[in-house]
Amino acid sequence: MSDEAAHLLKLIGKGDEAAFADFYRLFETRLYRFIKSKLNDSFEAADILNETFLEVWRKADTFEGRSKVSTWLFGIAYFKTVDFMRKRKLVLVDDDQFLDIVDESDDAMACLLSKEKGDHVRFCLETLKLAQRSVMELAFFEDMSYGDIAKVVDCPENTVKTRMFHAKQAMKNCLSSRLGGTA
Amino acid sequence: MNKEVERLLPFYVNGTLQGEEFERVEQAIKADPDLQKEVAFLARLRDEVKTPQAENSPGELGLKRLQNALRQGGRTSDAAASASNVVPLRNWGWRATAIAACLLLVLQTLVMLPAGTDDDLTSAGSGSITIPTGNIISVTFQPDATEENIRNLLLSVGASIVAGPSALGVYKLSVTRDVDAVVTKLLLRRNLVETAQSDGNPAAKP
Repeated sequence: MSDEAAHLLKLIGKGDEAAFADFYRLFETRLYRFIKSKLNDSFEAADILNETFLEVWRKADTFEGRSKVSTWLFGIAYFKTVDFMRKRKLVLVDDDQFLDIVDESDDAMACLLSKEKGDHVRFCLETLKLAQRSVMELAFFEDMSYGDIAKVVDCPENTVKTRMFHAKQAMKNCLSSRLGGTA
Repeated sequence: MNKEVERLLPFYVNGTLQGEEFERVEQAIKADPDLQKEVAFLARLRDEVKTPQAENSPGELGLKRLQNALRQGGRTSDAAASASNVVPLRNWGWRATAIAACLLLVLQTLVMLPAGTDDDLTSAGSGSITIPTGNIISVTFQPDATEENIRNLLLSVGASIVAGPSALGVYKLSVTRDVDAVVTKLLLRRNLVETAQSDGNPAAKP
């Protein structure tokens, strides 16, 4: 897929609309999910998706291939989303001061084995801070390496690892409390 | 648990660790039952995060919008679009359609209001609030479609506007009939409807 995306991007850079349509179909669902997971507003997410692909159309010929196409694309979407949220004052994006109370019980795992695990995970993902949620989505939904995630969210690799660590702890705490019915 | 190894576990689980780092983490996992439990938890969590959700992305509708934007000069409007952060699709045609649809909603609301003591009026809603049910269709109208024509079309297919317009001019319609047949009927009226696609039945989703 990476080669295909790079080839399509090259064609888009030359103004090929058919390649643009193929490129859109290749990434649209994943990208929309990524954007919407931060906004929880389907209309706004569709707008940002639209802006992201327009940016692809405009900037395709400047892509130098120093990163994967998906990394470049998700980076555009991430910054458009963050920019939107900043303007709407929806969130403090650079908040890396995470509460780190570790739940060492087995309740979180038990929650992941429960019948309603999907609902619990979705609920808990929503409670994560944007910085944590973005990293977790990119690591577990997009299966990106920490190096690629660092490029998408434009931060040091160590920060990605730390955010992911805190995201995991927050998920554990949340899932445990869901099992206990206290969340 | 080794903190540095623990910080690498998510990337061990998603299969992106390589070389020396991969070897180091794998050795540590073999030797530490707590790390093994942590890997099992992360693997379960990843499976759940990956589970497809019932989301309706813009799909072909979004592509159509983009293609329209390109025809209006997507690449040449680079500077202007970037500077103003305005979606080029938001044009006056859509605003006119939005106004027309708002008028339609007002009209529908008036019809749904309790009739009071007027004997010659019958309340369509019997005084209660109706929660939209059924299948949802995303639709965009032609910029020059009039409120009257949209109203007649929606009445003819038994559809109601339940959300929208979005900034891109997308409306959500609720229909109780065969959704595919309604989409087909809508698309036959190309002079009024630009795009229409079924979003399914939200109430039926898990």
